[in-house]
Amino acid sequence: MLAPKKLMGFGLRRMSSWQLIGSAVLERKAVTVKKFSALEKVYYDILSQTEDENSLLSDFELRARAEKKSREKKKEGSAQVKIQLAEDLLADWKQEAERIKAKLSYTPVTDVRSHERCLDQPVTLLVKQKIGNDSLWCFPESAHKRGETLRQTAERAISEAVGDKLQYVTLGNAPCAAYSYKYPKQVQESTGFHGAKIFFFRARYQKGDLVCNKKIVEDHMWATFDEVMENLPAKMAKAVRPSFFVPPVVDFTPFLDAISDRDELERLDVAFKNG
Amino acid sequence: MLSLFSRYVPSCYRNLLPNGACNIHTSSQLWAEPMRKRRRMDPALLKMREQRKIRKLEKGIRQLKKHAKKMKPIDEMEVSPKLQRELADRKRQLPDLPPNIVSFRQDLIRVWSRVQSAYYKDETKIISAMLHCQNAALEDLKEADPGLYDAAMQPDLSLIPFKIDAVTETPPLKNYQPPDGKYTETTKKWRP
Repeated sequence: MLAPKKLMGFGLRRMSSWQLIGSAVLERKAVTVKKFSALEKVYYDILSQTEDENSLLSDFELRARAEKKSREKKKEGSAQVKIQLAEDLLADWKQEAERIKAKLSYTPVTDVRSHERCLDQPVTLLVKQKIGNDSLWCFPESAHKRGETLRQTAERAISEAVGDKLQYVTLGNAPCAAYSYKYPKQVQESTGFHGAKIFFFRARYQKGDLVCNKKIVEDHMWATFDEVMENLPAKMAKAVRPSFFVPPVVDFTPFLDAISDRDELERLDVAFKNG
Repeated sequence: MLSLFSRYVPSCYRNLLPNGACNIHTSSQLWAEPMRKRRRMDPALLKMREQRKIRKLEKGIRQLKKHAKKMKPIDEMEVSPKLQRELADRKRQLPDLPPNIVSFRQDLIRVWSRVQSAYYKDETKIISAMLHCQNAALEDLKEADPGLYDAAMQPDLSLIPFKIDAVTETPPLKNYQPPDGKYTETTKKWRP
């Protein structure tokens, strides 16, 4: 008596319900500063110039000035004694700086599978997972299992896809975005679910290398925001897009009309383009 | 008897009589010592004494104040006397900026503030879109599974304290061993 009722109820519930999926948006934050835009560069230069102009002379500058004066006095006659002057010191230091810069130079990583690429902007982990019949680029995801929270599902998705050697911090218990889609008829019948609701959880990469689980993941990449939007299925990309913080890019060229000195502007523009 | 007798001796001869007879009085008995007369002090001396006392107390107060809890001086906030002396010598003598550069700078600062204002407006829009996106996701979850929604609404206290590394000009060098130099501690010790 009880059993058929229960079964029926269960069946009905499942047919009308959604399959819950937890997905992890694992992000490595920017490590280095972004390069200045033309306006930022010019503004920065102006600030440092004004600061220099308003500053007081340092001990080193006083020393250089005193040496210059005494040299001018001495110029008439008398043998010169070789001393290390402020100027020589400055030249030495510059040379040393160049040497260190050359020694500790940094070559950017270009491999898309490396988390060390594009250090001046955040990169997000994308994996090529088999979903249905085709394999798609998406965030690591896994179906929700009874007894775990969705956050745990998302964390499990990461460890299933890329191993648990990765250190990261999940940012809170709440999902940052959701995306739902209907399954095709066949899948609906075979799984008993109407469709899938994917909940995205944001996480912050800390350190460690990832080891792809080849059973689940065909490939992986650390994608910049633009690449993420390009590679995700279009509808999913639209759903997660607002959950990303992308610094706004303001087009400043219309604002430049307020500047009356066009020649100076042009000169600086050329200087910026030449580096 | 004797005193009676002495009374009849004319006063001019009283000193010639023997002492005892002369000093016999018939005045009433006194059963207490007469009050000792207060020594009169010099008012100037008194005043001086008082002032000395006051001065002593004042000195004590001054001493206490001197050794009371002193504020720890902030070296960075105080310009050293040497620098104060050299202040005039350290001024930069620069030629005046050409007027076009001055006006260019003013214009550019104006442009910068307008661009930044636009930037922050855009930024707030992005942040509110993020919040909206999250709220929509939570609403979705509430509909799908109230139990999981409750779990998602729990605050995550393990995130506090939150540590972020600041972005730098160049990435950190791998396997970089910082030189272990000698140093001398120059921080002054201050008694609490």
